[in-house]
Order: sequence, then C-alpha cells, then structure tokens
Amino acid sequence: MVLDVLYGVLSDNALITAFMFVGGLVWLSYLISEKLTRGHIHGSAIAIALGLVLAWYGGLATGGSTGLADLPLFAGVGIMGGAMFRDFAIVATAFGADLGALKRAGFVGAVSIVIGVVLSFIIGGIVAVSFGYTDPIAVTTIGAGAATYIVGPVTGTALGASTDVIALSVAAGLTKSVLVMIGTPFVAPRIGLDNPHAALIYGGLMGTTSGVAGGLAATDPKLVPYGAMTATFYTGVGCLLAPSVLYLGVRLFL
Amino acid sequence: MQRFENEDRDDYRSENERSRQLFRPRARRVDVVIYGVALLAFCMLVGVFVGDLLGAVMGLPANVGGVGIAMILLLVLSNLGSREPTLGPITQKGIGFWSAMYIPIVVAMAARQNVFSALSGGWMAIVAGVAAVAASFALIPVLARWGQGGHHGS
Repeated sequence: MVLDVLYGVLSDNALITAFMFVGGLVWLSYLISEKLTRGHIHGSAIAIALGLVLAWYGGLATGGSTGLADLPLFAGVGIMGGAMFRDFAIVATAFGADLGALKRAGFVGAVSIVIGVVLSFIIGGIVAVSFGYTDPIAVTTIGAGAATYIVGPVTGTALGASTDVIALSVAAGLTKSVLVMIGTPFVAPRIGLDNPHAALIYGGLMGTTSGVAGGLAATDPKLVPYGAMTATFYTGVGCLLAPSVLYLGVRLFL
Repeated sequence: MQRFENEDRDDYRSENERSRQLFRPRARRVDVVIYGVALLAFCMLVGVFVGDLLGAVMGLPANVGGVGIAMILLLVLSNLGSREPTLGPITQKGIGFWSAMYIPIVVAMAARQNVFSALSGGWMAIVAGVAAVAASFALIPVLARWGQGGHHGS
C-alpha cells in the first residue's frame, strides 16, 4: 500500500520527480568524476553519458521513442528535457554573452552552417552508396539524416522515400546527436574548441541542437550561447537544401 | 537625469509637484524575479514565433533560427540602458536561475533521447552518423583559423 501511494505521488508530480531524479543523477556523476576519474572527466559529461545509458534502457524496456521518459515514473524527465525547457534554458544562457563576438563571427558562422549541412550530407550519401544504395531518393534521404534527424524525415517525406529508409535516416541523425554529446568534451582541446569564435563554428558544423547543447554543457557551459546560435539555423537550412539543390546534385551522380 | 532632480527637488518645487513625486516615485524601480522570467519567456516566444514564420515563408515544416533570434532579442533588451544596467539584480536572478538549470535540463534531455533506436538502426546508420561527426569535428579548426585570419590578421 505504501508503495502504491508513493508511486502515485511520484507519477502525479512528474516534473518535480524529474527535478529530484536529475539532481540525484548529477550528484552521483560528480561523485564518480571526483572519485573514479579524479576530475579528469567532467561531472556533467558523466551525467549526460549516464542519461544516455538510461535512455537506452528506457527504449529497451518499453519500445517507446523518448528513452527513460517512456517509463511512467520518469515521464517528468520527458517534460524537463523536452524542447520547451531546453530552448528556454539555452536562451537564458545568452544573458551576459558577448554581442561583439557574435557580430564578428557572423559571416563565418553563416558559412559554417551551409558547409556543415553539405559536408554531413555528402558523407552520409557516400556511406549509403558504399552500403549498396543506388536509388537517388534513398541516398538523399540518408544523407539528409546524417545532417540531423529532422532533416532526414522531412527530406524523405518530401521526396517520397520508403519508411524503412526514413527510419534509417532518423537513426543516422540520432547517432550523430548522441556522438556529439559524448565526444565533444574529448576532442575539444584538440580542435581548439575553447573560445566563442570556435563555438560558433562548431554549432554551425554540427547542427544538431541536442548534440551541441549536450556537448558544450560537458565542455564549457560559457560557450553554449555561441554554439546554440548557429545550430538553431542548421535544421532550417538543411530542410531547405537537402530536398532541392542537394537532391539534384545526387541525381547528377547516380 | 533622475539623479540630478533628486538632489535639488526640495528647494524650488511647488507643493503640487512634490505630492506628485510621493505618489509616483519615478526613481525607484520595481525589481522582482518574475520580471526576469517573464522577459526570458517573452524573448523565447517571440523568437520561436519568428522562427516558425520564417519556416512557413520558406515552405519548411521546421523552425528557422527561433532560439538564435530569441537570444539576440534577450541580449539587445537587456543592454538597452546606456549608463546603468537595464535589469535590477533580482530581475537578473530570474534569468540566471534558468541559465544555471541548463546543465540539469540537458541531462534530462539526454535521458529522453531515442538511443535504443539509434543503436538498433543497423551499421549503416551508425557509420553514417559517426563519419559525419568525425568530418565535422575535423573541419572546425580549419574554419576557425580562416575566420580569425580574415578578421584580425592573426
């Protein structure tokens, strides 16, 4: 009976439960960071990695599409980590950002978005071809998925790709997003990702809002507004280019 | 300007004017947390609205730059005052709280990703994702150097 009541309280107050749960997860992550890695791996990087592992478990256990949030007890994690709160917090990080740095990198930032979309698209397309796909629509859709997991299905739907190809494009985009979240803090020192200028370019090249948000959180939260600024235009540019110019480009080759 | 008025207002102001000062204390600014939260909310909603409109104009089912527009709007609105900061310290706390909640929110975001589907999409999806990330990472220093060189000559 006590357990039933407790379960009711926790699931009725889902968002509050999520606050407590994430707080505990962050605490555990900082403990692991300090005790097991002696601070070499930042606590937030561990917290994000643990979150991804839990998300994987949620998908395995329920077959749903929102990770841990598919378990009724953790539905609040879905609200807290959803686009609404994520974007709200990202905008808040801009408070105190350097407007001058944004202006100076305006042009390179814009160029990096277009280069980022085209680069990811070409790489995704090449991988699709090397795995035996020859249909221009399928190759375009998978290439678009390598941009972000929104550009993929938008492009696939516009071109009339089959559902399994669209599912593949989403999987490619999700892999990218997860890898950017985990990988960024490790490669950051090697690629010079330690200043607003590089963060703007990073956001434009990566483009996945979740990936950039998670990657910069684990690297240096001060860089978040710069990366998020360019990343927020990426999906739009991708949806614009992939089903049109890039698709025509693919048809020239295949 | 207000500061100068305060200094000598007792000397020559009429009774009428002084009582108006009492009822309408212009120099004191209300400074509460909700103003910061509301400003942040306003900026985000305007940004997302403009982003959705941009998407609709281009015929895309996507938001184009909504968060970026919201961030610029917040930066501009919070830097309007030239001499003194536009926002009081408590109002700023309303924004600062959400900025500080960023990492926990990102942890929750990680926990709701469709990781299972990403990993069960087969090798092609994984290879495509990994290759795209690796190539993009490699290009960051190249573009960063180009941008810096073009603007600062360093």
